[in-house]
Amino acid sequence: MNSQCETVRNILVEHSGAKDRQDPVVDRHLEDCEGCRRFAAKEARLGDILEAASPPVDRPLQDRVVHAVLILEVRRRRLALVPVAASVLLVLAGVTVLGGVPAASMAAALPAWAGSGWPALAGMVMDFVGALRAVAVGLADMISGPVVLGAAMVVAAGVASMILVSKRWRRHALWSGRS
Amino acid sequence: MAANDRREDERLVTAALGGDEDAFAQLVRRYQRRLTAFLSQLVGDVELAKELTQEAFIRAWSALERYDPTYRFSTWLFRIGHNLGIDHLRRRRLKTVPIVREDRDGDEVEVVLVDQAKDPLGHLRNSELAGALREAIEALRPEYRELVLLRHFGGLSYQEIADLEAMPLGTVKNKLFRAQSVLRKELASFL
Repeated sequence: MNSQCETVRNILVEHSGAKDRQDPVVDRHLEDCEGCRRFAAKEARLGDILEAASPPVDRPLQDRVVHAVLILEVRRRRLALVPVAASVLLVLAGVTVLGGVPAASMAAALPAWAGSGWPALAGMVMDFVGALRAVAVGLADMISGPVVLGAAMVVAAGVASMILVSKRWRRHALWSGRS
Repeated sequence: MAANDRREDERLVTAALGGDEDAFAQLVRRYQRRLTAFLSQLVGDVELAKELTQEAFIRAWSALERYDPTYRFSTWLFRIGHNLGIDHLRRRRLKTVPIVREDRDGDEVEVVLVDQAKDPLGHLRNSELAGALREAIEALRPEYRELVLLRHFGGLSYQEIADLEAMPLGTVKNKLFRAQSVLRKELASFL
């Protein structure tokens, strides 16, 4: 066995004998070298044995995996809304206590087309926030600086969590845009 | 693995990250057989390997946003599966006491009891060959054995194995060449 035999045998091992190998140098060497031809045949046979030793494709297992992932995804999507809703509520609550939300009368000032669907829902939210604000204003006579400070901190926490949520989404969008 | 396969994996991962469950289902179809085959040999139990395969895919899906696309998906998935398999083996080792016997040289060797229903090679019709192959794989040094499992049962390329094992490509080639020599010797009567 010479150095060329060694090189050729390394290539043969890497390609499990003769399968999926396209190398004219190896082919020429095999034509002239009986030892390497025998080696190639054994490697190919060993490759076949190892290939046959792998269990067959398991469709039921694949279906189970996909089903489990689907359930997981539905849960994940539901849970993804929780931080968004919590952030919005925190900001609204803080701003309301600080007295910075427009009055409920603003909903009444919306144009007629806004009387249904999302605009209507927005109006209802503003009404609710307005009511909260009225309570807050009523309490304002009784509350002092620490409460205002607390409300400001609630706003800050809400804004921070919104930034965190948006960053997570941006990272996801960046990854998806990569090709 | 060809560059086309890698590009296809990247396309499927990107689609899966966009919420396309069908894309992930395709990844499952691409890798299930190879991952189960690798894990079957690693833990020596085909039913357990199926459970670990399912767990590996679920973990991959859950962590897909954290997946670093500079690495191949196959390498990442096999690393998850490998870690699950190793964790299982560690736990099992704590719970069991090995049965040992003396071999011809008087050395103690662990007795491997094969449960036919769970045997990773149980599907082979030639039981003599299955037995010989089992012994040949067992005879490999652990460092060779893992590479052989990744190469021949996991179907990973030399480069993928080098990435997974954090090993130079040349070292992987050398070790696999030596491992193949051992396998050829052990299975000589079948070649």
